[in-house]
Amino acid sequence: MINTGETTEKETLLEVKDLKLSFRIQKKLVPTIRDVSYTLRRGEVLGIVGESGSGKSISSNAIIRLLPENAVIEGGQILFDGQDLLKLPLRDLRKVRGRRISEIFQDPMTSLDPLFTIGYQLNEVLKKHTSLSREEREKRSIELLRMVGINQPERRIDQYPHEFSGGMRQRAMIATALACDPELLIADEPTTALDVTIQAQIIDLLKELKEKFHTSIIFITHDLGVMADICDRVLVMYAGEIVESGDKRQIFNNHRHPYTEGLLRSIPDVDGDEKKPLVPIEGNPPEMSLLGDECAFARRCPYAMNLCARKRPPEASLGDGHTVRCWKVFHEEQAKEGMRDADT
Amino acid sequence: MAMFEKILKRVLLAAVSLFAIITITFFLMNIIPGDPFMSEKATEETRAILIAKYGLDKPLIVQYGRYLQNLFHGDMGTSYVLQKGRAISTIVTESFAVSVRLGLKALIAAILIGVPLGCIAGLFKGKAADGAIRVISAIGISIPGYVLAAVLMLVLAVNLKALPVSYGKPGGEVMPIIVLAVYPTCYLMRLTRASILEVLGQDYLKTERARGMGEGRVIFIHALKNSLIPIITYLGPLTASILTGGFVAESVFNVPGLGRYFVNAISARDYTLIMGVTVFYAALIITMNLICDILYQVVDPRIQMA
Repeated sequence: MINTGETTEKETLLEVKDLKLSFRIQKKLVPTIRDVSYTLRRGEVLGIVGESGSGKSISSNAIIRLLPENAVIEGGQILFDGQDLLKLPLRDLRKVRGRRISEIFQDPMTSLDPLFTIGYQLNEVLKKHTSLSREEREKRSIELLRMVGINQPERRIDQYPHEFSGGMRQRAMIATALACDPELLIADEPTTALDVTIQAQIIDLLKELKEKFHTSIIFITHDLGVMADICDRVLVMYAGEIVESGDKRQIFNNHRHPYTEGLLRSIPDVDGDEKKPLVPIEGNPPEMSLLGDECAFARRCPYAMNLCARKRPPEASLGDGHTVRCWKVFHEEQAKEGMRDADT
Repeated sequence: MAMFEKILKRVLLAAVSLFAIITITFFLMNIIPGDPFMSEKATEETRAILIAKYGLDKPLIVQYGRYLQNLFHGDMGTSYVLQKGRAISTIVTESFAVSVRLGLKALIAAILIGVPLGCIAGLFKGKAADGAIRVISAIGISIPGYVLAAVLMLVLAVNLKALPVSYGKPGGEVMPIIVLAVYPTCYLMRLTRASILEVLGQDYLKTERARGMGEGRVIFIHALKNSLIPIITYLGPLTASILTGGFVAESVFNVPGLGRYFVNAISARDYTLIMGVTVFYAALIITMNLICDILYQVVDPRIQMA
């Protein structure tokens, strides 16, 4: 299961198609993930950015069906290496979880079972997914801890999570996630709960591991700075749908969706012009249960037209993998095309 | 080594608590009006002789000092009233043995029934099984022991004639054990349910599932171990109280256990017996709590014994 690197560079690893997911709340289904589609290639880091409740975690956790009990997947496909994970029985899915697809979580303080040593937890994963002997598992565990930058792994392996600092716990968490050389690592806001200096260390570690093992990463965050640092491609999510997607350059320099624009204007720029004001996005995300056939961002959008409140915009492709879900952009593109047609 | 020092420290602290309990009980007991010999059909003169014989005419502080001195030498005195002349230590050990025989069985039953049912209720929250278990536990917790004892006696012994009424006959143990076990069983059900429900929402279980662990492992290894902590807290005092016998179960079924003496010794003003039973009970609770504290550490590495 070890990736060999360059030869698989462009191969598609994960393809999510029209994923629809709702939450059952008091017998009503509230749509939470709405027609999410994207692809992830081997060795690529895909960033998913959005505010709290935008569905970024849910849509990623849906890949390994790690969902709250009241979540209902209503449609779509999640093709992992060609196999639809949504159709896979739970028993078989468990062989994928932790072995081919691993996940690390936001809060390393609460995400490791406090009553078991780090060594136990590493051994547990290795025992479940590999045929290594006891001695080999122990050797591998120590090797993993060393790999993620934990000093004196021989000693640390017998310690409990509470004996680790936050950053070290996240490293230990990453070690358990990488134990079986996964092809895909889902990192659900792995640095949000950490100090800024530790944050940078964890990001560097993930980048290093990506280079070394060629693992694909889905990196969920609401921190655009972190995103710019680590990701190749970016999905911008809002109210359960992808409003804009593209490579890093397209999103940061050539974004078209008003929401993406708002997000980028609301981050402070340390090196830039001090007089440039921070512009917050006015208003709040919509109540999902009240959302009809309209653009979810319409109420907060400075460019909203009548059409936006009446009909949900389609996903428009701008070429080179850049997509935007916005009527304004849709019309602009149509006009361009019209002009091109008139020219010929 | 550090562990040993901590235990030693706790034992010393326990001795201080025990001393406080002895002192408070001794003076409280003497505040109760009357004396051990008020029911004796004797003249004022003989009563005075008896009181003088046991030194009860001396100032309280002298009596207290003498009691402590004797206790320190392992002498708890002899009973004044209930088993006149017998050594308190003999009475306590004999009756405690009876209570332990019943108590251990009740305790084991409570754990074996209460904890698994509580787990089931927690795991199937909101389902029929949960509802049934919650109703049963609510009834079990709220029904007073003497009502339960009387009802059992009426139904099982008098009407159905399935079991003997009194303790001495074969099968006589069954009803006292039931009476002893019902409350802790139901309490354990509720405690386990609440505890497991809290643990089920924890992030680390999600992590375990993300690692591909099966539900069996997630629930029975990770969730259960984490939910044991509050249960252990309860088990300490529970063990002590159940082993020393319920007053009700032992009184109603005429079991010659320690529990009976709790009540009887006080109403008879049998001073030495009151003290003996209290000291023994206090020492037992303190020991059980100490064992619990040590057990905690075994289960939860985060807990440092103070």
